[in-house]
Amino acid sequence: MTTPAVLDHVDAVTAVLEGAGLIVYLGGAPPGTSPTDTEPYIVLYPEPGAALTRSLADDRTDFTAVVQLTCVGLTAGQALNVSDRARAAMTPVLAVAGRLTWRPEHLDGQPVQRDDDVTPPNFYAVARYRLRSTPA
Amino acid sequence: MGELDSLLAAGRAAHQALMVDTCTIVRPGTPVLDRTTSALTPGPGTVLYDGPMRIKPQRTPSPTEAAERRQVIARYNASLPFDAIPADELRIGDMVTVTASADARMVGQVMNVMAIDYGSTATAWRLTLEDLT
Repeated sequence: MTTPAVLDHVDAVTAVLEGAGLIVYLGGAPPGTSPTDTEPYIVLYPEPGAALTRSLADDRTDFTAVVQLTCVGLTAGQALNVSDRARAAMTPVLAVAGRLTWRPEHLDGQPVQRDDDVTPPNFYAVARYRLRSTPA
Repeated sequence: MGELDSLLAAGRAAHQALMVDTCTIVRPGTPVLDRTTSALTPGPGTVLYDGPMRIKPQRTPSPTEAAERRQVIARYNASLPFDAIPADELRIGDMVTVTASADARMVGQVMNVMAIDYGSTATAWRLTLEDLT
């Protein structure tokens, strides 16, 4: 019995987003990184997730986790467009080795936010997706 | 010319002699979004100033959280000739690009206008610029 791993699922999310031509970071942007005209990006904030009981045998092999996609751009339109492309990329089932996955479920989001702490301002579009899988 | 005027003229000439760097100040145009690639194509900018400048760092860098990372905002005092007249009133966010400097590391640096000072007895037209690290 293999305990499901959140990072395998995060890798799958990263793969589909990068496959769509998007720039993806995990847990924050690296030093020196800011959105540009041609390089907006997405920062993933996944929760650790939960291994769920699959049967009365208490085999905790099913998995669920919520991942937040924070899309960062130089304009509201750019951040929202990155979010749109991410949603399209997250439509198929994810490829996680040894797992059968559900299609990511779009849970909710937040209104686009403007950050005037820096000049030019940054814009954020936030969406959360639920990931689910079971052993293959 | 009164004594004060003479003094100010001398001060302004002396200050301008220190403006060994040059810069352009441009107001960015409205960008156009490519919805396939998310790329922004900048609209044509408006050149507001092109000429000498003196720039000095303020020694008060301040950390902030932006773009999903820690950033440090560095501020600079920029001095332009007292009689410099921009093509339009400067605004926050106008882009200042250093085009020539004895400090080669500064050439090409892009900063943003954050504050504009006025003063009838100033020896230069001072701006506060902001840069991110």
